[in-house]
Amino acid sequence: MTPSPRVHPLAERFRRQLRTAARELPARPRRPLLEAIDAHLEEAAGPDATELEVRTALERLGSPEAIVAAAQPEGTRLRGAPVLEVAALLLLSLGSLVVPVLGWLVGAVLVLLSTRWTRVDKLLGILVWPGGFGALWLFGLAAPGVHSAFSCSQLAGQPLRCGSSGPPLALVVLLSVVLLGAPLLVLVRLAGRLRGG
Amino acid sequence: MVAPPRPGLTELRRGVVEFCVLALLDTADRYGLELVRTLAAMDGLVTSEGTVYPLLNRLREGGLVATDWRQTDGTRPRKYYAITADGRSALARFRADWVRFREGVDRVLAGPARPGA
Repeated sequence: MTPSPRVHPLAERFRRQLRTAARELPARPRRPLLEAIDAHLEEAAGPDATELEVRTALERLGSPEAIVAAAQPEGTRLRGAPVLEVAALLLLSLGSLVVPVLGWLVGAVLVLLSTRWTRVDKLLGILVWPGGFGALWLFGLAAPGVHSAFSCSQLAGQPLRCGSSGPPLALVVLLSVVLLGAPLLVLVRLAGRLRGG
Repeated sequence: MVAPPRPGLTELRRGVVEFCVLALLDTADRYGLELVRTLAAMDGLVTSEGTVYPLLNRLREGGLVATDWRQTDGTRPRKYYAITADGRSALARFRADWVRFREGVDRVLAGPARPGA
């Protein structure tokens, strides 16, 4: 990792905004772009530059969004409908319900192929969502077995005693919420990225 | 000052600016800020200085431009851009195409006015 350039605080703020905007870029155009802009800022908006000089330099440079848009790989700048991404989301969430495991796996591959999601998005889609809602379905199948372990017994002269050998109900409910909630949150995040174009 | 974007001009720029970069590098190797400022000083060629850097990166990936770090006269190290042999060939082809294209457009634009107009 290259050291941070010595720049005016206003330029430093611009650097941070650019890095945020550039998160959607693949690594190959992103890294050289950020290096080049850092070098530009070091020269045009160093720590000794006046505020007016820095503001002028930043205005000439353009907005972080415009710079990132110009760095989008060819063929992705005018993007059509996100067919691949919608298919990926459907398969990730529901694929395992149609074709167990394989449906989700195909969805995971489509996620990796997409150019619209960042690496973090892709990791979330695959790791937070292993099995998608199919995992919840499988968990639901296993849950009745948990409760069937509940039983009562009474020895002569002693009160009735009941108990369960399975996990407590609260844990079952918590796991269900996590298994349902995590895929939903990731679904909202990934779908939200598509709305941004 | 960098020219504000106009839709028609944006379309005209597309595909042309990269050859302007190659033409500038054909005269001398230049570092990023120097190259970007030279381009931006030419009216209407770029919308903003920052958008030139992605273009430079594409030219480098395409093998038309090469880069190396140089330090001259005690200044900070700078990344210099230089045109490659492939870049010169592409520029030569563009020069020929551009002359034909420009002459064709000029002929159309300079055509006789509609009678009575």
